[in-house]
Amino acid sequence: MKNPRTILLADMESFYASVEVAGNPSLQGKPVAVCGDPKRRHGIVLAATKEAKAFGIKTGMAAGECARLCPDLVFVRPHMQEYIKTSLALTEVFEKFSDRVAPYSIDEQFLDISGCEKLFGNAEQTALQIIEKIWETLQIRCRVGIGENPLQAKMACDCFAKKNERGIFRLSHKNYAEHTWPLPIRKLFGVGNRMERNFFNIGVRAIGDLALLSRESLKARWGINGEVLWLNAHGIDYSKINSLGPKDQRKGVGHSITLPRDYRHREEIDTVLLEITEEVCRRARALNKVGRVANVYCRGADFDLPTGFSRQKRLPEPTAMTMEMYPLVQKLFYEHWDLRPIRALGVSLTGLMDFRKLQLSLLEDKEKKIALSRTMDLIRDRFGIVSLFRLSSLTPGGLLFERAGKIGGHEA
Amino acid sequence: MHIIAKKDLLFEVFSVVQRALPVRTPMPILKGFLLEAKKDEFLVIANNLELGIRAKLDDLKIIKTGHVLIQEKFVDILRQLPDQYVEIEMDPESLRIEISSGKSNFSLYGIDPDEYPAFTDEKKWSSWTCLHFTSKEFLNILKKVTFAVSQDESKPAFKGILLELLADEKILYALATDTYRLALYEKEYIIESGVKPFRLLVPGKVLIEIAKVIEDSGDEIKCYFEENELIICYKNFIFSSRLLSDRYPDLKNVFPASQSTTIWVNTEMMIKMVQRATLLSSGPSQMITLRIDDEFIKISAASELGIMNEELLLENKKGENLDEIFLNAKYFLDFLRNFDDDVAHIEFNGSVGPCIFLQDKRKGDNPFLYRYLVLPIKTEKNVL
Repeated sequence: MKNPRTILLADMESFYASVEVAGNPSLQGKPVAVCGDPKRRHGIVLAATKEAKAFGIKTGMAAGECARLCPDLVFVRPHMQEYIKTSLALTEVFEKFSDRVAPYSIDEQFLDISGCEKLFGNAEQTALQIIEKIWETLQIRCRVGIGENPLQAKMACDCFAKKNERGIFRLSHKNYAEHTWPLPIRKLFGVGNRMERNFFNIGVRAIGDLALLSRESLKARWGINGEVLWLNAHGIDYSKINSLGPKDQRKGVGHSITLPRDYRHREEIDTVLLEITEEVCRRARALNKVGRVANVYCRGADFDLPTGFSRQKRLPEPTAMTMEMYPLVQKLFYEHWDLRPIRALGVSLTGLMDFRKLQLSLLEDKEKKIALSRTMDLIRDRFGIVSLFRLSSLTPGGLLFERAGKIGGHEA
Repeated sequence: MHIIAKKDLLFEVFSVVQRALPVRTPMPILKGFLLEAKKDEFLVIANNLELGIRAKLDDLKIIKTGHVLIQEKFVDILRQLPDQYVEIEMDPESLRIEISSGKSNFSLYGIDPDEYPAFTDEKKWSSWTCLHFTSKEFLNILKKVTFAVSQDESKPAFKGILLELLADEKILYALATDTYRLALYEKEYIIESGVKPFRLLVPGKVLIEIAKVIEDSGDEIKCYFEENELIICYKNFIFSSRLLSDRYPDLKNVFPASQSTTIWVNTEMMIKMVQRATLLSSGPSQMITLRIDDEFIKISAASELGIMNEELLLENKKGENLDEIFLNAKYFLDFLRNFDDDVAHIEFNGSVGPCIFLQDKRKGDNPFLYRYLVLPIKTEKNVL
C-alpha cells in the first residue's frame, strides 16, 4: 500500500474583487462589487468584497438591487484580461511548491504536495506558506483545503477553510465522516439543485444520510452519477492531480453569446452563428486540434416561458475549418429553432483530437484552405480580431465589433 | 379484398418489399404496404419516394379483389403466424383487415390508400430505353462500386453511383466515389438497337438495397430508364428509383498514366494482414503505414494501445522502393474484399500520390477493367 497522498485546493477569496482592490489601494476596506454595465444585460455582480458581502451583496445580483442594499457600494467594471493574468501568476506561485499543479477554475487550483514534507514541513505548514506567499506577491487572500485526494481537498476548502479564521482545514479518511456527514446534502461536491431535490424525495437531507445508503441502490437509481456521489459522501476519489491538467485533456471548445437585444430574423441569427463558429474554429486551430462533433445551443428570450435547446451532430469528418462546420451549425439550428425570439446563442466543437493527419480529397485542395485559415489567424493574432473579418459582420446582426476587446463577454 | 396464400411465399415477398419502407418520413402514409388484389395477381408495394418496390404474386387464391394499405407491423405478424397458410380479408366499409392462420387471428386497422403515390405504370416505362443483363452480371457491377459511394449529406451528388455509356466506346462505366477514394468498373457492352449514350446518377442507397435482393444467377434483369426515373425488373419484382439530377464531374480520367512502384501480392494474405493492422490502427481514419522494399511490403499501425508490425513477401515488383505511405485501412479492405483474383496488382505514386488497385481482364472472355483509386493521408511527417 502506498503512503496516502496530500492534495491541496487553494481558493481565492472574492477573486475578481480582490484583484481590483489589489490594483487600486484606494478601494481597500470599502464595499466593492465587480459588475458589468448596469444599463445592459450584463449588469450583474460577478464578485463582491467581504465588506460588500456584509451588506448582503451576492454574486449574480442585479446592479439596481445592490445599490438599494448598500448605497455606498463602489461598482467596478470587470477587467478579464487582468484576472487571467493573475490566475497564471497564481499557478507560478504554486509551482514553487509542487510540480503537480492543476488549475481547476480561474480562482481555484489543485496541488499535489505528497513527498514534499522535507522541503516545506507538514501539510498545514505548507498551506500556511502558500497563503503567505500569495498575499505577499498578489495581495489576495487565499484559503486552502487539505485532503488525501482532490475531493477531500475541495470539500475541506468549500465547507470549512472558507469559513474559519486561518483559512486552512484538513480532511482525511479518518475524520471525513465526523466533519462532513452532519452537513446538509447540497454541500456535497457534485450535488446541485436537481440532485438535492431528488435526495429530499428519498429522505436524504444530510451527507451522512446518503453515506448510509447502499452503493448498489444509488447505482441502480442514478447510474454512475449516483455511485460517484456515494463515493463522494465517503470521501473516496480515484482521480490524480497530474490527470486533471486541462492542457491536453480538452474535449471541446465552445463559445456562447448573450445577445445585446433579442434576435428574431434569420439574417441576424446567421451572422452571429457564423461569427461564433469562426471564433470556435479559430480557438480549435490555435490548439492545433480538429473536432468531430458540432453543437448548437440556443435560449429563448421569454423569461416566463423558458425555451431553447442544445443539439449536436457528428461532422462528416474531423475539422476546424469555419466553412466546413458552419453549414452543419446552421442545419442544426434551423431544424430545432421554434421561431421565437432568441436571447442567447452558442456553438461548440467537441470530440477534439490532435490535427496530425489529413485524408487527401480528389476534389478540393484542403491543404490550401487550411493554409488560408492559418494565415487569417496569424493576421488576427497580430493586428486584432477586427483587422480581417467576414463582410456579414457589418450587417445589423453582427456583434464582432462590439465584442472585440472583451473576454468571456466582459471588458478585458 | 380477400385472399388465401402460402405464408412462406408471402413472407418472402414482404421481406424484399420492406426494403423500400422509409426509415423516417413526414408522410405517415408511406409507413405501410399497399396491397392490391386483382383478378389473377396480387401486388405488394412500398415506396420511400427514392426507391419503390412492387412485387407480384400469382401462386395464391384470390377470392375477392380490392386494395388497402396495411401497417408495417404486418411483416412481424406474418413471420410468426402458426400455420403454413394465411388468410387475409378486408372489410371495404371499415377497412378492418382480418388475418387468420391456424387458430390465430389478428384484426388490423387498414388505411385508405387514396393518397398513396402511384407506382409508375408499365405502359409508361415499357417504351423507355432498355438494357439487358443477367442478374449475375448486374450484381457484379453493383458490388464492384457501391462500397465507395459517399454517405455524406453535404455532398449530394456523391451519394449517387454513375452509370455511363459513351457513344463509340461500347463500354459501360460504373463509378462511385466519396472524394477520398474512387471505384471504376468498365465492362464491354454490346449496344442494342435503340440504346443511345447515357449518363445516369442512381442513388447509392437504392443500388445497395437492390444488391441485397438479387441473386448471383442467370435470371434476366431489365433496366428501363428515362430522364429522372430508373425501373429495374427482376423476377417478380419491379424496382423504381429516382435518378439524381446533381451535377457530377467527369472523373474517369483521374487515374495517373504512370506509377513509381508496382507490386503484386497474395490477396488473401494481404487482407488478413491489413485486418490485423486495423486492430491497432488509430482514430476514425484507421490509419496504417505501408513500406515497400525489394522483397517485402511492410505494414505498421499504432494507437494509444501500442504498435503492430508485419511484413508480407511480394510476388513481384517493378519500380522504386516506397519509403512510407499512410492510408485508411478501411479503404484498402473495401476493395480487396470485392476482388476475386488470387494476386492483387497495386500501384503507388510516391508517398502522397494516389494508390491504385488494378484488375485488367480486357483480354478475357468476359472482358472488363476494374480500377480503384485511394488517396493517402498526409501527416506531419510529409509536411502538412
